[in-house]
Amino acid sequence: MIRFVLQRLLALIPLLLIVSLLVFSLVLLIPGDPAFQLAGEDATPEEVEAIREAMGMNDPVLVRYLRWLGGVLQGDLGTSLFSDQPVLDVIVERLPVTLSLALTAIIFSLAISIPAGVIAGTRPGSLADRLVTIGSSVGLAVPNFWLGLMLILMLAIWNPWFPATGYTALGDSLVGWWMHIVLPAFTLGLSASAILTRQLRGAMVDVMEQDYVRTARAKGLPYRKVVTKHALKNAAIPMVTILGLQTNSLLGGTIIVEQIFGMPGIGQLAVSSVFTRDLPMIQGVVIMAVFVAVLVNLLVDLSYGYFNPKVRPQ
Amino acid sequence: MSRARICQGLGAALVLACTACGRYEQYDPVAAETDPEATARFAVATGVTRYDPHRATSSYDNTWLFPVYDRLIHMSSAGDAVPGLATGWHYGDDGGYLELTLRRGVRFHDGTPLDAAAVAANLERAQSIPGSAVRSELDSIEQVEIVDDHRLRLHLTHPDAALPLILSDRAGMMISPAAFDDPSLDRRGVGAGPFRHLEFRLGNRAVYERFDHYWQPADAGVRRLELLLVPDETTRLNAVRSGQAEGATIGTLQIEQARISGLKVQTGVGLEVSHMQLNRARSHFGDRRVRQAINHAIRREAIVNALGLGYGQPSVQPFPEGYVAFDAALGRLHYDYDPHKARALLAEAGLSDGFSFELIVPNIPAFLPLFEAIHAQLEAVDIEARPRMLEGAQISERFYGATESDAALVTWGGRPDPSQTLDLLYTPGSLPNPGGHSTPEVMRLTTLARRQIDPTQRGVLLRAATREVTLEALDVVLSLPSSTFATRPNVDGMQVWASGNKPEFRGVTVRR
Repeated sequence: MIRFVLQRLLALIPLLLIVSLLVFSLVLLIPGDPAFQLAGEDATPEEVEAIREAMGMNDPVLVRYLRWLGGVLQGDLGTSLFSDQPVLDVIVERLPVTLSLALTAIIFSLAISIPAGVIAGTRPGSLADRLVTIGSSVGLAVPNFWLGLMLILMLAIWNPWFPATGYTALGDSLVGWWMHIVLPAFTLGLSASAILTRQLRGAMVDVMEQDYVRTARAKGLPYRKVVTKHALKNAAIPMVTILGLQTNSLLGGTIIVEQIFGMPGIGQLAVSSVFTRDLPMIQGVVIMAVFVAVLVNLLVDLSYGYFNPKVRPQ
Repeated sequence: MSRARICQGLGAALVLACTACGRYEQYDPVAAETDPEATARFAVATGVTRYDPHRATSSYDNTWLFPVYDRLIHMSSAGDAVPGLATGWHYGDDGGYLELTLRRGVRFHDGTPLDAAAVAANLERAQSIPGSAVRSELDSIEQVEIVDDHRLRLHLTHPDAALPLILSDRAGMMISPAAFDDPSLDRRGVGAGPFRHLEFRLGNRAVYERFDHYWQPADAGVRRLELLLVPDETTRLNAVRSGQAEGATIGTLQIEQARISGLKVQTGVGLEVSHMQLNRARSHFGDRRVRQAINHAIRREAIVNALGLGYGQPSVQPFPEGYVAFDAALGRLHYDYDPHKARALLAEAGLSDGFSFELIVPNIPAFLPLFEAIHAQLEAVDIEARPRMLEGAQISERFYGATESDAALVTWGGRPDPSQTLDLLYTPGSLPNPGGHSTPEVMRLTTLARRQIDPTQRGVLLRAATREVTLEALDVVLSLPSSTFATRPNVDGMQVWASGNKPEFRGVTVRR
């Protein structure tokens, strides 16, 4: 197993190198010259050109890429063009906000989708199944920006039960963190829970018709044990795959949700960096997002071995 | 689960939702005493580029810098120069120098005395530090002479009447000389303002604490001030409505919503200008008659009433009514809405069939209806404005740098001294005047206004320059937009300053 993990980690190196080249190139394609932002509103063309030269922006693209990559390999993602803060420091400061938002959203979506999917999948065609199907369709159809605004209106402004905006770090106050995270995490997690519910429901319907489930029931195993130990574990494989994909899209979704709830996470950082053309910051955010996505995919691959012994590496 | 139980559950959820929709927080307007230990949190739309005021590049940085850095001269809410760290100033030797008298007993937050040597060191740094964004504003200062501990003379290459108000902006913000070489100055300001800088999180927030030794204690009305960067205006208003912030900058379209929510709203016109800026070296914009035709084709009052709900000042002049550079004789709407006159002027210019030009439009929601209105009004006189949607960050590069479009719908942030606006927008050699077109008379009057140190005569020259700019139709000014702040009912003292959407927090207090 350890060898399998190491192999997968080694395989990440060329992938991350290719991704780094793509990230660097894509960021260069973003229209807008940061030298104009840095020079200020009343600068002369000569001052703009001097800044471009000082920043090395007139160097060949390959030279700039290698310079940037050299820094990245040493853990230096560069410094913000504006505040001169190390990009890595800013990302590390923001990451807990986004991770706690995404993880809580995943927990919410699992807490909703597992019972709903199991109930619907074990009683296909029943009223409960139809309600779950309708509910998941609504969950899929509701855009998260609308849901977020509605939740703020109803639960933060009309009824001031939750804060409408902002964030409290988990280390500062557990209650404060929870109150700030509930609405955005629910907003972010609802559509994921709808997708996961539908996946799990379909998989459960299939699994419940399998011979081994019938055998388990014929052996006299309690129904609950048949569902949880035999059916759910096998039905979970497609769900875990979707969960991996959803985790990545949840990280993308934080950009909108963080804006709506005024949360100082990576999403908000990405947006403000794009507006100011803070290229090192944009590159750092994208590289970090890619790294997280690759890591999540690795975890999903590893989890297959838990759910299905047949795919465990020998 | 039985059907009955499911129905009960749904019913309960419906009741909960209806209860939620029906309730509304009522604010208690009963006055309470001011809380000197209060925290005021204010949500703003634009972040700060850096905390070094000499290298900070955007005028909107001022919102974040004002609490930390005191300025030699302050600007009143009417836009006049009033005493700040300098209690008085006067020109000598026919404008050969500007002498400043400094307030006594003032110290920076780190304890360094704020004396003539510290001011001289600041001005020299502002002129010489690589990447200075204020160097050109201080060009006229040739030498700084320290007369005594509290007096200094700025020897000038030529009389510069704009200097007092320039010193009310970033160029006049005083940094503690002990922090000049501190690499963290970009993130942690050390000034002599009403608040000490405690914390800064890039793209997120800044925290300030009252500086107990500030020379004007009433200016720091709260113990703690927090500025929150919240780019989305709905989120900003929600933050105030739900009590996560005591105040926020909001859009004019949110004013009624804020009032219905029981919030206080402060609105006013500052020195910002909403205009369709022309590159007068492109298209047919070198011809005054064409520029005048466009000015006659625009229905400004309709734009302000429909898109700004009546907040803002429709005007063809780049300064607000009543301001020193506003020419009252010409009036706000010298170019009345007159499509027939517009057509006649176009015909006179040989463009009776109309023409088309490329117009840069920022791709943010507020500008789209404005473009649609302008497009329709110009179309009525056979002028086609072809939109080119660009992000704000690209406009500087494409319109001002590469000068590759004919016009742009933009907002000019205003400058503390009117001669700066006239100089930067309407005379050659500056980035904000793409194409570099001007007229000899505008250049002459602007130069004279910049050099005339007698306030009365200067006012005459400024108004004459504005008049010339307007008659020559060098610009298509649409309106002076309104700056708007919403605050909780227990917040007092918030006001719209002449700088417009760059609030100062002097005298802001919070009641218990």
